[in-house]
Amino acid sequence: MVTLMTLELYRYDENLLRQQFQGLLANAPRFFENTPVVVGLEHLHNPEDAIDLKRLAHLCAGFGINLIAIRGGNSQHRRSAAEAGLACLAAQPQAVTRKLPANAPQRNKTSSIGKNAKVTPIHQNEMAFDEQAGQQASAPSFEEPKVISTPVRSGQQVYHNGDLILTGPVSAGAEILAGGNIHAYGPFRGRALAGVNGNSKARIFCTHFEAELVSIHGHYKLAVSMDKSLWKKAVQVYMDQDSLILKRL
Amino acid sequence: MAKIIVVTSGKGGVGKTTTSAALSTGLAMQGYRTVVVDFDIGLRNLDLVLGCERRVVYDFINVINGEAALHQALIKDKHTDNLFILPASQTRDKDALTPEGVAEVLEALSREFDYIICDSPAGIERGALMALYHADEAIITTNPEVSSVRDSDRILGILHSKSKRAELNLEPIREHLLLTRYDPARVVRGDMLSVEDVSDILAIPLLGVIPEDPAVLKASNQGTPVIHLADSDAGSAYDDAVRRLLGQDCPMRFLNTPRKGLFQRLFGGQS
Ligand SMILES: Nc1ncnc2c1ncn2[C@@H]1O[C@H](COP(=O)(O)OP(=O)(O)OP(=O)(O)O)[C@@H](O)[C@H]1O
Ligand SMILES: [Mg+2]
Repeated sequence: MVTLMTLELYRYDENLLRQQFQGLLANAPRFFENTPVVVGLEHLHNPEDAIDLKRLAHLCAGFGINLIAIRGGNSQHRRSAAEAGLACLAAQPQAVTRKLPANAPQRNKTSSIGKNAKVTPIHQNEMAFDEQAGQQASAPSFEEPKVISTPVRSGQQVYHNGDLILTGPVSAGAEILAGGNIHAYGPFRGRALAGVNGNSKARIFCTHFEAELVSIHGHYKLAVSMDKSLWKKAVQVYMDQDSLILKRL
Repeated sequence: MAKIIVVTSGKGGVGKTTTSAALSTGLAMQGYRTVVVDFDIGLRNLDLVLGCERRVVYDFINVINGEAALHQALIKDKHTDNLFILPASQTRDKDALTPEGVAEVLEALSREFDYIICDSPAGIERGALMALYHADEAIITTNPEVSSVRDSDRILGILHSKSKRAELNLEPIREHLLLTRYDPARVVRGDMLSVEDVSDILAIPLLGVIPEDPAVLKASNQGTPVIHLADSDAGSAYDDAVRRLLGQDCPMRFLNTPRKGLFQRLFGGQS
């Protein structure tokens, strides 16, 4: 049930990172295959270090690592992330690094790639639920629904901690992140991430479904693995137990 | 006050400069005082397409730096009355294009002209941002292929977030889709996106469809904008686009493959 991976960044040094990726992929060539990766910036040794996320995303892409978001970071990091078309997720101060049993399959193993970064698969139960129990008081409550009536274009990103209602088209390469539900009434060709702050009850509704990626509370599905009969139809996406369900409306 | 129109695309080589030259010539031919400004610092193609490269003395950057007066840098077009060119610099680097400098030059031009056409460089970096910042209208130049459409979409997002109109919360930039290098035969074969496909993805009004036409290269080698070659397909299509830009209603042309000759109909090929 691996959903997303985090790449925990301790310092940003392109050459060292490149070496470490090479090392990692030499041992586990399929480690990152088709897996969206979040860059965790909470543990940067020097939190004020500027990071060019477009370059980082490019560097990662060279190793088949598909960055989708940063977590934490300062305003420069968030700006740079937005420019690189990456989502910005709230910091998880005590982001978990689960210790897996030694004989766990390679793909799920937390893999330390040296002093610069560490890769951790995020399992839902850890990422938000377990932590939220202790964080309930500080967890942000939902805001009023927000309506976006202009098209959302490639490279743009909309985040709202509540329900998001989109009446215009959402292009491929655009990203919609909602703490609550997503309702899309125009053609939806971008990425839809609902329940991003830890709400597995969130749903996605699209009247014209052509999404590149859907995700609820971190459980995601890419277009390549979606049922083609849903294409361009009215579709809803929700979680049932631990599985992500895509269904005609 | 002039109307400022940016010709932009994100992707390179899609026909921005060809379009800037054709539309500015077309507007001037209709009697509007028009200036076309080359924002592609370091490359300078527009003057070649308009055939005035030998007459460039001062350029846009000289004016911004106060090394020349605006009227010294403006070149009057030889072929078309009412048309002026503000060339780019071939030698300076792009950072010379300062926001204050650009604003001042456009403001000065605005007092003298009806239309200012800004020929944007490719990409979404400084030069492209400068070219679109002041725009009232935008001509999104797009080729019928996925990567060009994606980049156009991206530029539309930038128009909505980084232009002056967006920043000051004014009425949004008026957007027009201009599909260029359109080859109906390749659309039929499925090698290219159709007008409908592109319109559906970008969801902005269609200003025109310019067919792929060898006359474009020929015209640019001669230093005459293709719109002057009135019997060429691309020239006529640009002429139509100018009319639509001015609010006239004229039907789209060049959308279909030429009718097959008898020979082809008898002996097949795909239908
Ligand atoms: N309709 C057309 N038919 C055939 N060739 C065309 C057409 N439009 C443009 N071209 C050719 O495509 C090439 C690129 O055109 P142009 O220089 O106008 O593009 P551009 O978008 O300004 O490029 P850049 O991004 O480098 O500034 C040129 O060789 C031009 O002759
Ligand atoms: Mg050009």
